[in-house]
Amino acid sequence: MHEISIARALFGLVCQHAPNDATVRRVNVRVGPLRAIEPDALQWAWKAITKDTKFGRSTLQLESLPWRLRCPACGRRWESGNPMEACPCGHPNPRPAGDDELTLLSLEVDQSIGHEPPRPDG
Amino acid sequence: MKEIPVIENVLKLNDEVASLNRQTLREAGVFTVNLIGSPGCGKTALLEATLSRLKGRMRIAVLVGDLATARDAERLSRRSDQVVQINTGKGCHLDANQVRQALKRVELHRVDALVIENVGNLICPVGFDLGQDIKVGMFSVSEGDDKAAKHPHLIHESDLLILNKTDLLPYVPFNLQQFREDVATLNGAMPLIELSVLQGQIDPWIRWLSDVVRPGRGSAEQSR
Repeated sequence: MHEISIARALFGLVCQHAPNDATVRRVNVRVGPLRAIEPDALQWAWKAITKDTKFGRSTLQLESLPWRLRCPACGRRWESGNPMEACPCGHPNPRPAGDDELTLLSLEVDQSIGHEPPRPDG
Repeated sequence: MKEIPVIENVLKLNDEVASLNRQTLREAGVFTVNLIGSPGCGKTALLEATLSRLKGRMRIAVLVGDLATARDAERLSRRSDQVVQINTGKGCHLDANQVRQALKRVELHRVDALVIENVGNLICPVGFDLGQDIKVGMFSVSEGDDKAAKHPHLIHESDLLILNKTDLLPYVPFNLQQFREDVATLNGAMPLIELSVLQGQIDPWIRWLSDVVRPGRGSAEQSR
């Protein structure tokens, strides 16, 4: 399951960018459809990778980009989660296009320390 | 709460190593293929046939990825002295660093083309750049005619698609027209080669590979 590899890579990137004195609350990631990432699987992988680490309380916020479809018959353009969605005009095979983006957009951190119960470092 | 902008590619590390691989391979004049297909579609058999057919005409090295065993490398080693097995353990795809480490065991100065046979998997390998020039996707007739539609990511990302085991068409309910339409819908610009490795019918693949591997790299005879 490649979501594990991705969660590991994301963990490394969060380590690089998270301030030492802050608690990471949210990790914001944008994903294009060409990455074939199953959102629930990535969420699970993130929980598994961060368990018992300093990011163990962070949540992963995913922005999933849709496929962009264009109908070769009527020219209609729209977005969809399904790359093979038929056009309302009746053409069964619109042309799909999509991004392969996988970007760590930002970290939301809480720099108030001293109120969290101690937990093991990762 | 404070928001810290990052805007970085999550797979930055893999992609940086992939770029290094690409540079190393291009400087050595090696054309590189990342072959992605399901377990059992015939990737290794295709490479065995390719190595035999192009012996003396094209010097081909192979990196082969599997979770376990060296069986594929053993098969291929009978036809090439430049085969490296990569065992990923539990990894469902190869990554750029595994390829970089394996490249240290390949004598690139006597290679025209490198084929990286990825772990048998139609999904996970697609998004991991290894430093290749092209991605080749592979299906087989025995898997069913809906597999292209079910794997749009591989179809979209591939430069060539191979459909193997056409010798089985008379015996299995495979709608070839539907498969072709699905492929054209998802990636109309990509060539589809239909072949049977078992019956030795691989000419279109050999022609295609010979065209994309730049002429003038030298044959096996010239290297000696």
